[in-house]
Amino acid sequence: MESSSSSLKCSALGKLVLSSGLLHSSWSKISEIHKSPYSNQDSGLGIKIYREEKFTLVVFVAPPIFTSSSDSTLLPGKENENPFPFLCSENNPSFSLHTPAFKLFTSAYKSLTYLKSELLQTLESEKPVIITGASLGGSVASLYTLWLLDTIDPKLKRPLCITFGSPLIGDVSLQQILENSVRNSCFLHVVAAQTRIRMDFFKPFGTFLICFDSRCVCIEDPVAVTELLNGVHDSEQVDYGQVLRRLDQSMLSMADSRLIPEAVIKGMEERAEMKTLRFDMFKKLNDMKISMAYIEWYKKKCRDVKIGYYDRFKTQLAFPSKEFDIKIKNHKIELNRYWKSVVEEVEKKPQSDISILKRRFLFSGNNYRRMIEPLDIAEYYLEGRKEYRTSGRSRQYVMLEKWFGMEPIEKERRKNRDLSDLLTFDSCFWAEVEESLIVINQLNTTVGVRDDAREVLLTRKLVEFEEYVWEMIRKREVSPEIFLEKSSFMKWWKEYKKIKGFNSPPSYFTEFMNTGKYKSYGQSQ
Amino acid sequence: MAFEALTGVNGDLITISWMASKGANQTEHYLKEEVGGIVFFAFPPSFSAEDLFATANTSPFGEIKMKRNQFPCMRSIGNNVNATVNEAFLKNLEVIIGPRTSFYASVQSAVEREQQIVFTGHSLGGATAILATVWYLETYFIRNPNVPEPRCVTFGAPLVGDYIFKHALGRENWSRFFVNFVTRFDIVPRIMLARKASIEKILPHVLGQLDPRRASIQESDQIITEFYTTVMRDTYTVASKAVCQLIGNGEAFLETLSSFLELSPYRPVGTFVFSTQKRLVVVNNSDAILQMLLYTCQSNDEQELSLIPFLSIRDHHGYEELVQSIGIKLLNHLDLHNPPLDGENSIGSALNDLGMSTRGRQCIHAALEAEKQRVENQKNIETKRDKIVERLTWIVEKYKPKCQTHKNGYYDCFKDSKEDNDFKANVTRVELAGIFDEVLGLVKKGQLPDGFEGSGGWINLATQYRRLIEPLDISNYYRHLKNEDTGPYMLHGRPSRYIYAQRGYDSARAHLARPAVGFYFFGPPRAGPFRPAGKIHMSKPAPQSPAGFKRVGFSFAGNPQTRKPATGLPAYIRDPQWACPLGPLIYGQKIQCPSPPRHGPLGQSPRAIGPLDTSRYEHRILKPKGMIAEDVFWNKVNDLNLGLQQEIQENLKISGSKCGSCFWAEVEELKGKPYEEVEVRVKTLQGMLERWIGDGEVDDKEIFLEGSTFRKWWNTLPDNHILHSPLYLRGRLMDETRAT
Repeated sequence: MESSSSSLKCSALGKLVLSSGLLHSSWSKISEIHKSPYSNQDSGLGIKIYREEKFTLVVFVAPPIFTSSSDSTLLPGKENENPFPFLCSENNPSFSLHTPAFKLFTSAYKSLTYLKSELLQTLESEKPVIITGASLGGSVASLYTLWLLDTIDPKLKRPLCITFGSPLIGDVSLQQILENSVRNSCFLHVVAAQTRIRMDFFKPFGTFLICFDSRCVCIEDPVAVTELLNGVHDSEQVDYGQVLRRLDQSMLSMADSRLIPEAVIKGMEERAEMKTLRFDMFKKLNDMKISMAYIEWYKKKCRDVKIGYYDRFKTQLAFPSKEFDIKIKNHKIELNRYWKSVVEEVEKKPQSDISILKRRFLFSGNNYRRMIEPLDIAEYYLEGRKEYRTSGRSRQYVMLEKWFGMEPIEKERRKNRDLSDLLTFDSCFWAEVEESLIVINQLNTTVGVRDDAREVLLTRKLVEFEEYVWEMIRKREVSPEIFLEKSSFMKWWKEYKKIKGFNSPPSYFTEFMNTGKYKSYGQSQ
Repeated sequence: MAFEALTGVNGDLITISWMASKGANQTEHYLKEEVGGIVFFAFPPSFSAEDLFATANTSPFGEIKMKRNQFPCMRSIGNNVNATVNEAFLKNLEVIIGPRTSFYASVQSAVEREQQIVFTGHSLGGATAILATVWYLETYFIRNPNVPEPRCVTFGAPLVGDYIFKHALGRENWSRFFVNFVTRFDIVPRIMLARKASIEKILPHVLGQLDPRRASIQESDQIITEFYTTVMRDTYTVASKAVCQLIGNGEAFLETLSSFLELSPYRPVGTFVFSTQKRLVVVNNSDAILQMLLYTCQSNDEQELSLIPFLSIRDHHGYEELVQSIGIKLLNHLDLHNPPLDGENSIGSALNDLGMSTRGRQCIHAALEAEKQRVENQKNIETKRDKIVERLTWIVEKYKPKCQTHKNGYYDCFKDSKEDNDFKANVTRVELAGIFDEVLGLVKKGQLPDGFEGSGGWINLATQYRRLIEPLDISNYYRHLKNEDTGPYMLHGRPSRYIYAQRGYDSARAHLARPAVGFYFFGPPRAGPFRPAGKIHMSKPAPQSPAGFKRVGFSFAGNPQTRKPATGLPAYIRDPQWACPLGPLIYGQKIQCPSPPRHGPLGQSPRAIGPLDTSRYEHRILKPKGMIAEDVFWNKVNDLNLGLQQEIQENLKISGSKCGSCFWAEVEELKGKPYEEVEVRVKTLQGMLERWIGDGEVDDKEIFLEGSTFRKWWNTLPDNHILHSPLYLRGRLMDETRAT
């Protein structure tokens, strides 16, 4: 007995698809149109909608393909040249499509737009939609489904695209993009086992139902699909009506022949295994919260001795003394490793899937960025490097900040709340402080001839920083910890005060600092 | 006899059941027989279509949700969903238990005489028997410890209820009471797997053929073939989907596809006995039975294949022969402990006899493996129990007392987080969240055995966890001002792990006759020996576990009679397996332990006491009232007479007053708001408080402390309100003031 669960799964899924009757309903409509007298006269795209009792069927009819064309059209990520910009991921900013299908799609763009709004209404009313087509018609149906999927609310039922013997439509980039998206689940490609499909440039995505004589299997693994179907396209037309009838007749007989070669199954099994071992961001999120608790505590401890956790970490890096500090460093490494992987996973997904990222993740990620990035900055400047914001930031911070910014969050902040646990909004704040300290250093170490122009430029930079800080104080977006006695920021202020002297006109900020108002900043009033 | 060991019924009982079922054909509602002190209730079959699909029912499978008031146990507690059953069958039951028949009185008198009852029936009569058994379990068995266990024996009965129906019977440990006999090709046990729309038209004709009072069947009846093919096609879809789910990994394609499918919700319950010429095959696993219903109808013999539609009707009348041959047929039990299903062994030949293909065997194997995995998952979770107890103990014994010395309790200490202990408490909070979220994930996906949800030990542990740690989660939520980003804790902030834990507790509470109860453990022996029988008592605090005993938790509730508040004293048991009082018990109630403890007189060494069957034990103690927790809350609110009901409901929509462990969240929300705006909520909160304290939901040692957020907020309320607040509350607040 084969004990492979992959083989059982392929067979059970095949049985499920077959006995569901969805293929029969789709094919009967397709053949109905093909048989009708006016179907072959037009060289363009035909669309017909059937509103059935249980679901709505949209059938795409395209002229037959005469040449097995492998022309492709490259679509860059920019909006105006690509109707599918939302599919691009950070990793795959562009992809190529099958030219004949894409041309047909764009030629009917107007009517397709109209159809889209109509189908969205249908989906809103909880009625499922099947989009189907045979041969090139199926390819256009696939393209159309991809396009439609962008506007569908993830809470609604997803449509299903069923193609019969259709050419593949996308390159390896599109395959990779979809592999990491839930959209991949909306495609069911029915192919007779004797058919061969060219897979040298175009690659499969979605689920394939491969029909052998009296049995069928359903495979989601694109590698296995390629192994089973790759070959030179033969133009022999398959009558899928007949294929389905044969499958039907043998549904209840016992014959279970081995359909997929053992080697293919083995490969599938191994890849399935790999997939389960793949990084699971949900599982580890909780461990990360423990690490965050440690760092939160560390921050608090530092505050008690009048030094911010930023400066404490920086000093301890130079002269490690306590076990606690070393532990903190390890927690930081763990956290960075985790969030780097999370961001990598997310970057594989199409842009528009990111919003589905659970809120919990966005908030946790944002917390992580605001808490940990200062520690990375401490490390960076300790090594004597400069310009962190532009050349030193790790990618995960950039992306987490970007995604968090994209999330529409209604903030209802009380004006007088206590800020003592607030994490500074701009996680690069300390890099700005360090840069400003460098500027002060440059001003103070001017040797030889005074260079007025240089001095003006440097002073200008300091004033810009002052404005930046004041803006954050005003909006109450910076942690009161920056005013702690031993913090780098206070060091900066002392120097800045000297440079500014008493002659410069007072600003809100200097007044705020000079009058000691900063001491009560962030306390609840 | 091995058969009795496997099914709980012996040959005689089956024979009498069958005779009674046959006899019931002549009756309108039921037939009662009494043999050897056992009372048999047999129900007649029906062969009219409206008894299969209720006429006014528009659902695709004629299904309907069970009502919680009538069947409080028939639901999934965690997911909070009621079981679904066939409406026509349920209606039939309602007629039978209604005033038009003497059934109710007959059952009542059997109950009074403490006689064992067997419910039985052939065909649709079997469906009635199943529901009558459930009704009996809910009405008598669970409420009265003297009611004997019932039995339900069906012959060729259609499926009655859905997955949750099956899950609930499994959770209550009631599945073992049901035994269903199925001849190999009988169509009736498969009918409910078909869509109503696909069989509706030809159903009357087929039912006519199934009726034994009608003329004999034509072998070449085309309608029969059509009917058979239709039913089996749908069975095929249901069974294939089930296998995909069993071995799958939550693949998105299956999910997308599923929204296009209309799948029968019905699932087998109890034990199934499939019969062939030579054998009886006993199966308990519902998933495996479902696969067998499909794969036993396959054949590789063309001639047999064409005959099956005819056999599917004929086999419905094969039960007489089945019953007569029980003693002489070979017996096989299909379960996980058996050798591989394809081996050259008796189970292999049994499956050969049933015509099971290789694929079919793989499907059954997958079903059994899935159950094995569920058991494995539970074992894995059980290993974490010690860690949970250890962490909670630390909170109770170390953290809370330390905080109380600061005069503001652990809720506020945690919020300030000034000391190392606060940090440790935070790590504890996150660690426990991880464990409970893992359990929750398994519960949600149904990846734990059915019995898990009902295990008193876990309900208890989750309740302790919720009461102790949820305040810390609330503290953390408001400390980080998450309410400003996400809104009030009760709206979006409350983690599901607490919501599920509360449901578990509420359902256990709903079973109890008296309101103020708590969870108790047996304490350590007062004079040495372990005393499982006798009065429940709370332990005296002991610095260390007595020799041989293990610390498992603390008793939490106060004493409702003396209004003595919760003590939080430690409790011990010798071994978790012996955790006799792990379920909710009424204070001071006398309990009787099942047989093992009787072996020796009280006071004997604990070693002589065997493990207790907790599930059985709970049935003896719990007294269901069918009160839904939500109703309990609104009843209480109505008692407070706060004004217009509708207005009040609007006011309390997202109120933390619905659950004691959310007390702090409600305080936090009310804190900053003008009194006039939140008057109703304030009054509700104070109205609930006394009972929460009595139940152990809220720790009154904490909230009245001088520096607590609650007390500080209370002092800001208008004098007029404070003057008219309940005497109890004023007294407590004044006492504390005097004390300090």
